[in-house]
Amino acid sequence: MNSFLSKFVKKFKNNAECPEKEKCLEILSLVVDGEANSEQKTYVKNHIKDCMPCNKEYEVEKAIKELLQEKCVGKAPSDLLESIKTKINQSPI
Amino acid sequence: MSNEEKDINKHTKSEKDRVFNEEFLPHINSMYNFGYRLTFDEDDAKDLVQDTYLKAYRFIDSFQEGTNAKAWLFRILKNSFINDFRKKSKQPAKVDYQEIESYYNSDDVDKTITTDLRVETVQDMIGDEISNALNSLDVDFRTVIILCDLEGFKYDEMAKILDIPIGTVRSRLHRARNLLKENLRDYANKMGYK
Repeated sequence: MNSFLSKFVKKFKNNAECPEKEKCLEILSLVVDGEANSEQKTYVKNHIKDCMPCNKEYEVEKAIKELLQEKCVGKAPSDLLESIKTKINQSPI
Repeated sequence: MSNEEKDINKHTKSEKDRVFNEEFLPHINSMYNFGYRLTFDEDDAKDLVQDTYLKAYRFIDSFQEGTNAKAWLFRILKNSFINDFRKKSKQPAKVDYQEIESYYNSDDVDKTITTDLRVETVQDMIGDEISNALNSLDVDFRTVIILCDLEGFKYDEMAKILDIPIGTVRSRLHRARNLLKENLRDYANKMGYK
């Protein structure tokens, strides 16, 4: 493939919707969740180099997961642990 | 104690306490967070977590050491929430599950959301936005996001916690994420993110 054609193909891939969107997104989620096998990981790694829509989806999914982990976890109130221990000590064996 | 009773109560009190302190109590923050995001009420969440720990202690002999204590506790908490808490709680629902379930069960939510949500937009979001987006999901969808994304459970662990097939875990997670993205996109639009 000459360089002009390869650039054209790459540009087309970058802007068009991924023809295998559903399949890709399913595998992207597996990768983001650490559930993908090595074949699926390789597929995603290679695919998102050229497919901008999937690349974007992958980055968005990762960012949402990171944000959830960072912002949506909290600590139990300090009195809860003591209250549980007290109840346990009062309970029969 | 008769021999029969000794067989049933395999652990002595000190063994029970050791397992409880070493295996169960370290998960109290995750348990509380799960309880809070199910009930949206601090006192209810505390009651739910306390009930869960008391049940865990009472049934400690059915816990196999070396297996996943956190998943075991989450399963008890989830069942307590469904069987005890939601039945007992006759107060006006803080979230009208039925109303939103009918919407969420429509086919629209199965479409894959590839909106104009950008990674930079997500990264710029503050805690309240993502937290509100999560909280506004129906309880079943909220639960899979909490288990997977906040707590890092694997799909097979989630299937056991929720008593559903692994395929359902995946499809529910897919739906939940689409809905979460929709919520985030709405926030982004309201806030004027580009």
